[in-house]
Amino acid sequence: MNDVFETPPVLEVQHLSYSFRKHRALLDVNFQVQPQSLHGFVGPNGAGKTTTLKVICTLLQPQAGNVRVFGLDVVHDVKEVRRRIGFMPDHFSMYRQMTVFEYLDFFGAAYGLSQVERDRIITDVLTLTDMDGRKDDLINGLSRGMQQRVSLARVLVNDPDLLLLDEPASGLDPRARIELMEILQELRKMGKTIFISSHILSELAELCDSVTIIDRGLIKYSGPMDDLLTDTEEHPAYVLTLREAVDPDPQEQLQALAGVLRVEEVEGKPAWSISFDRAMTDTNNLLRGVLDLGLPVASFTEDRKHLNQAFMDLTERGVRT
Amino acid sequence: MIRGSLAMMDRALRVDSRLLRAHLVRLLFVGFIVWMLWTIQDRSMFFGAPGAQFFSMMSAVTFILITLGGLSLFATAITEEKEEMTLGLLQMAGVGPAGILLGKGVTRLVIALLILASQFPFMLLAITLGGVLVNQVWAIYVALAAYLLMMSAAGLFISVMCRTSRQASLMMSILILVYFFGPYILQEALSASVTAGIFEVDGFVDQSADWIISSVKETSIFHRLEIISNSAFNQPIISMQVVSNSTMAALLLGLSWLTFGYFNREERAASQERPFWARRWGDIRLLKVPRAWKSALVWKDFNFMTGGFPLMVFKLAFYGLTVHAVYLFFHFTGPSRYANIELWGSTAMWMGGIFLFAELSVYSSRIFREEIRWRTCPTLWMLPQSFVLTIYAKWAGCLVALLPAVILFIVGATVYPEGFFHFLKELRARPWNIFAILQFILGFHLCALLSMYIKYGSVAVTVAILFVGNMLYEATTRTLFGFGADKEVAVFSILATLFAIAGMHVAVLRRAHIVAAR
Repeated sequence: MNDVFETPPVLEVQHLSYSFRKHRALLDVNFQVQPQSLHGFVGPNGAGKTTTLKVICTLLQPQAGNVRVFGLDVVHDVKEVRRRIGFMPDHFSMYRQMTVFEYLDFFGAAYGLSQVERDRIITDVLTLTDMDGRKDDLINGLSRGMQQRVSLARVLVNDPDLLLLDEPASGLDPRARIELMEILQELRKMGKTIFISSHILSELAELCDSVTIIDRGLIKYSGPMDDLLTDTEEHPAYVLTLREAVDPDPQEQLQALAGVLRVEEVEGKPAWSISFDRAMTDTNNLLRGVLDLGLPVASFTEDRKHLNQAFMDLTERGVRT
Repeated sequence: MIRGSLAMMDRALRVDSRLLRAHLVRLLFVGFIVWMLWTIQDRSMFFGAPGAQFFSMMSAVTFILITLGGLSLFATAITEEKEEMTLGLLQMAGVGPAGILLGKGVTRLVIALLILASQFPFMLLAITLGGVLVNQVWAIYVALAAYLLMMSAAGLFISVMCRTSRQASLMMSILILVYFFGPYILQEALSASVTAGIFEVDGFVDQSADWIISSVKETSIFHRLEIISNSAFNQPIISMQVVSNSTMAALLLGLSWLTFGYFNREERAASQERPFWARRWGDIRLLKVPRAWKSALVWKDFNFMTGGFPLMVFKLAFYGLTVHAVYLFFHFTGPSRYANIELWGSTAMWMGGIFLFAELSVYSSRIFREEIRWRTCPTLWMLPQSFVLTIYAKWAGCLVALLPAVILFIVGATVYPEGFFHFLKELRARPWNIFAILQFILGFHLCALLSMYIKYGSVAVTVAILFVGNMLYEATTRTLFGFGADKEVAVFSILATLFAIAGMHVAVLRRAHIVAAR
């Protein structure tokens, strides 16, 4: 991990500010994205995520500060930056009257690829996105999830090193979301750097190595995902689920374990949320303690509610005015 | 029904009253009238009855604005709800067909009538300027109001029938052309048939057709405006045109109400349209779209916006047949009956020009609007090439599709070279002809720019702006330069138009860039 962090960043945003007339969208935004990482960009609606992405992908020019992609300036090296990135907007920006193949062929040609290269790349990206059986279908007739896959395939046509994805999972059903995340994992393994924005932190938690949280145009956190929880949550929580209900109720026994601060029963199933003090114990010790009680443990997992809590703690409540 | 209609009207009028743009349009219109009044008064020393001139000019402007309103404002009243998929929601909210028609149609009618009302006091000044009687002013407003009613009802009916605003505007244009020019063409064709001995002179067919044609003419606003503008006008205010136009309005409104359910049974989301020849009909597809060219953007717009090669072939055949049909019409209705290659050549040239103009108008209004509508600008603007090149490549795709119209013109010029050289000579001898061509180019730019601001009717708004703008310009330059400096004014006008085109060109590029980043 340290080796990776020593290499120069793929994306570097320094003191970026942007306003739409009187409305301040971004103020002194700073963060970096490391090579071959999956970096989450999280913030509530209207936080400034899309504006930041538009500046990075050269659609808007920074009013203050600078943005460098692979060391290239987004204002002065526009063409080269565009050649090395792939941007997927937060809406379905597609020519739906084309077939999947025509659509990808068009973008391949627009990026200056020869017909032979296009044939090869289109086959590859369609296989990767599991759309090879639908290449002659009209985009208009595809489901939302499939259209999102085609959109992702389009982003990959010019083989970019950095993918900028603006809320790619919004509006997708749970299955399509999971499948999309699997494709992203696959892409990271292939050496791509992925910068993905979302307004749901827990959605990215398992996927991302690092995260930047933005709220009302200000950066609230930027760094490794693991540190986010450590930094913001000194009292993490885990959910213990039993295979079956036991008698007597184990709540008191759990409460008595060393370092445990609070035990709450999860409604409707034999499960308890156990919050503990990191200063007094750690996850391994806690699990050992639970197993020593002889309970029929089905699972012992991190309580995702606490990730959301961390997000809530960092961002302000209420609607941005 | 009343509650729903009132709610819709109330909302639309509130929105209109809050829109700065709407007030600006009204203010500009009043400003235009005042300016025209001033220039006509200024020129009154050179000719008599300036009031009559002002009167004819204002009635012509109002007539054109109402006609364009029918094409854009009324023909899109219901289709815009269909395209936004809000028609079903309105019906679910308990607003029935009559409520929707009244709510949408009457609001637009009120807005149009407000513009008519705003110019009425100024029109009365024509009486003071001389050459017009109060009876004529009343007659013209009643005639125009009846015409407005008919146009609004016709627009609403077409809007009920059609699925998209584009289809509705196209159908309305055809309807207007048939209504205005149909009787004249029919009359010419009939007299040619009688001369050729197909029908007996003063026979049943001849007499009946004559009666029908003259009755239809009686109902035409063209004919009525002509009569009212005559200084010897002494007829009742309520004419055949007023009665027939109002009756037709009521009938069309009733028809819209009756057929509303039939045409709007199912709500379908508007979608980008694939060329008909590349669609799949079950397992059959007529033709395949060719592989993307090296100039990918040219390929995209040529195939998916203008229809590609198959449509080009179709257009070539269709244009050729139309030219031949028009040639035959002129041939049989004209003085000479001998085959006349010169007539064919000149017909091909001027019709080629018309087709060129029509196609360019359509492409100007769609080239950016389609990208904005389907939110495809960001992906396109992100291509690794200069933004300006992207725009020009899109235009190149449209220009390729103009080939059939250009071929028609070239064929016409080849078979009748004298006509073509005469055209060139005219261009050189009369700089106003060059000015007219430049105005078209300016218009295409303006249309492309407007299409990035307004959803529908950019062609109609462009025509209105150019028409009113040119009237204003002509009156102003005549006042500034006087009457003896025609050539100087023409040269100045050409330079001014070139300057305006350059400005508009930059404005289009700037706007397209802003739109892409949104």
